[in-house]
Amino acid sequence: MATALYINQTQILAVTVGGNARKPRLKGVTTGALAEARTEDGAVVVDRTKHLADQITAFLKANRLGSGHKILLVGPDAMRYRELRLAFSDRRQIDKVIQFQVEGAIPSVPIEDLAVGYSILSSDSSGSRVLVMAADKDYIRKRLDALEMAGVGVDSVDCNLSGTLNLGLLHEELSAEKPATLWLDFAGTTAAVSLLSEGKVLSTRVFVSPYVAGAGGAAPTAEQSKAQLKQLEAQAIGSAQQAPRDEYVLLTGEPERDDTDSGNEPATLPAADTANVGLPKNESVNLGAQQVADRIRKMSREELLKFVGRVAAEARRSLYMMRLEVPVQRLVVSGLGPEGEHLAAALANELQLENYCAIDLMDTVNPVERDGERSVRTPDLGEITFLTGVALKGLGRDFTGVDYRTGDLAAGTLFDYAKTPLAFTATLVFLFAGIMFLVAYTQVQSLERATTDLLVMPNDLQLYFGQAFKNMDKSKLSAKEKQELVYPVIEGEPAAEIRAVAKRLEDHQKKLRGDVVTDHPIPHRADVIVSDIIGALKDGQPSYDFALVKIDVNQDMASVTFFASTSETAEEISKRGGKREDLRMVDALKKLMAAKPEVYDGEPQPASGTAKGVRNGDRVANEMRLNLKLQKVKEPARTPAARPGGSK
Amino acid sequence: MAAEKEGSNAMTAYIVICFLLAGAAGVGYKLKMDQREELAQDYPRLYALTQKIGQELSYNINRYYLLVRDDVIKPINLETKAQTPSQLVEIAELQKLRDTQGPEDQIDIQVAPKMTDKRNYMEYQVEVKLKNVTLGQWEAYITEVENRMFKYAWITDLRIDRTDQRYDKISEMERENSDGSLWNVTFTLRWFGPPKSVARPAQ
Repeated sequence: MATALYINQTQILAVTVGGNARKPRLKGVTTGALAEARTEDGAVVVDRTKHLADQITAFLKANRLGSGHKILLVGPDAMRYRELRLAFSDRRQIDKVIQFQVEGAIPSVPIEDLAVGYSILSSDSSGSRVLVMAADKDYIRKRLDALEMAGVGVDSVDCNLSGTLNLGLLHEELSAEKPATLWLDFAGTTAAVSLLSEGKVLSTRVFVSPYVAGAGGAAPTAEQSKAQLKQLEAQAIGSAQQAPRDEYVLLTGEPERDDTDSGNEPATLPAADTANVGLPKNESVNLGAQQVADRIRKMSREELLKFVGRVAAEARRSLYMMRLEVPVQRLVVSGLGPEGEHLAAALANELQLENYCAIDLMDTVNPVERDGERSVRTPDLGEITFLTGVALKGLGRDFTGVDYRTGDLAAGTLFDYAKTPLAFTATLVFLFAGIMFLVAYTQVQSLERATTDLLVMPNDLQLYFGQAFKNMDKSKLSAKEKQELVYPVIEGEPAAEIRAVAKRLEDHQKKLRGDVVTDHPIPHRADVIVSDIIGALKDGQPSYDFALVKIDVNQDMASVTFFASTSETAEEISKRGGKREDLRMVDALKKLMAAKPEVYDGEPQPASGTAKGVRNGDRVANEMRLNLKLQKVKEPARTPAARPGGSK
Repeated sequence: MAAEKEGSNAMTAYIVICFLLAGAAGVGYKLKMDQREELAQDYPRLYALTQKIGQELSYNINRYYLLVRDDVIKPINLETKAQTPSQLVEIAELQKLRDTQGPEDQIDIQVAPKMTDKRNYMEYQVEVKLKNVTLGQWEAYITEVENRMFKYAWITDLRIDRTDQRYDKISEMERENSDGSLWNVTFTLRWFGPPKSVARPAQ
């Protein structure tokens, strides 16, 4: 289901269609009056968009039109049509130049104020003929804003001519099987003349329909009317021959002076003609077929002749402009209601066509039932065919492919709406990050310069490096040793250079101190281990009965033998921490081993061959022998090794 | 229209590029700040290092060579190492340890170092035996050896044995440090030198 919406100054119209693109069906036509934008006390409403949005909301709610696709119709009063001839037919190329072409074709309106759509009428190797349909962007935007405020998502926006073609070409009388046809469609105060062949639209033009001439003052006599018609016809033929490439018809009542000045044919109807029809602009949007028929019925013979002649002139004009190789064989008239058949006959006679018929475009979507009534009763609206044709877009039928819901009129996704603030934010973030980067970069540069300066300030390292070895006797040095006395230059890396200088001097100093060994394993220093063991035994608070007998240290193990008293009094034990002497000594040695894991491995292990309860007078002791395992001495790796911390 | 689409795409591209550039700048900023942090932390260390080079290392090394030049200290070299046995004898004489025959003999020093070829280096060993010495004597001897030779030599395989190991023979100390026991002490002094191919015969 799809609904086409049309909003003018006084009314809002909606046409809903269902079915599918091949067999569409009219579901309903609803109209609603738009209240004047005034408050209850008569003051003008300031926020007109909200005022309109509120009324749209109420209208849609009242008529239950909330669901389905929504298409907005751009009325004829906001449209400008131009036919352009271009030297190419590729859409991408046309897209590139169309704006510039339209700017030249419609000089009176800034191109920024126009939403441009186009349809390729014909194309061949020499180029293409393009029908440009330019809509007033502000007209569309105001309505879109109100619709969006009302919570209506508009899928696309299209114009009246698109709607007419979309609907009309569904009619069997305009089908591809029919011979070349001249199709005249009247809707409201506008009419469209199209040339069809094999289901294709070869040309189409829109002009102000003169069927109500006379209502506001017709030609005074039949002779004058005829003369005027002849003049118009001659004018049309002449201009068609002079400027066939840039034909257009403007629907406004004012002539486009710019076009006239530029030498193009002023295809707009002269202002006098528009004045003659006597229709105020807002009336042009609400004139149904029945009203048209009624007006025609009230025309005098002269007025009718003038009407027929004027329309025929427009039709001939189209034919001349097209220079059709295929002769037009039939005439189809639509939009004239009950008077259509008579006028079709008159027009066919004027155009010297024998085959003619009058049709109602709504037949395809709202056919007449057996009882002579249409399945959906519709009000008499001039725009019903536009709206129905445009609504078909929602079902997938789109003959022209025109959609103004693009660019700045496009339905905004969240990203689209966020683009501008995002771009602003992105710029700010980029600038901020860039500035921060530059600040950091500058600081790094500054620190790097300062580090480089350290090579000479406050101490000239090269000078000091040389000074260190100034008094050294270099006569007996090997080549390798001499190489170590060369100042290490590291280009571009001052920090590494400083470290290298320091390391070289430190290594040299260590070597002078005897701290550096490079090519042999570092043995355990037995004297240090003996000293450690004796120190540990002292920490064990030996009694007067304690006696150290032996300490044997090799590279794998330290063995210690001693007599530990078992004849200490309770008071003595208490004074020495509450443990017996043998336990105190074991604990002390354990502590030593734990404190120097780089030297000792594990805990003291008791060895065999000891004695218990040996006596010396009153003194009684246990002989104890403990083995302290040492860490394995490793062969040096290729890299220099330093002495272990436990060694001197 | 295509032009409008292109404009919209250009805007999208601009936003993406801006964010990408901002991201790159952000990453660059982070990296530079890390570098800056590192440099800022390094700078005082490097400054201290230059100070150390100028006022400590250079000075110390130069002073060492001045002392060597003036014969105040002797550098550790192959010659120094070769004199190790004679140094040990000299220390024993200084400690008044008797090197005689019979029960009066207190010290045995192996005059010719035992050499072991370890392929990448040479290992030299001298065995020293102290006999019937008091704890104070062997402590003093070992301490002096260590003081003179710690730069290049290691005391390894040290064994200290009380001469009388029976408990009933060990008398109680009358007071602290009054132990008059005698000890037999054996140790090996070990040092290293370059491989045999470059070693001098004197070692």
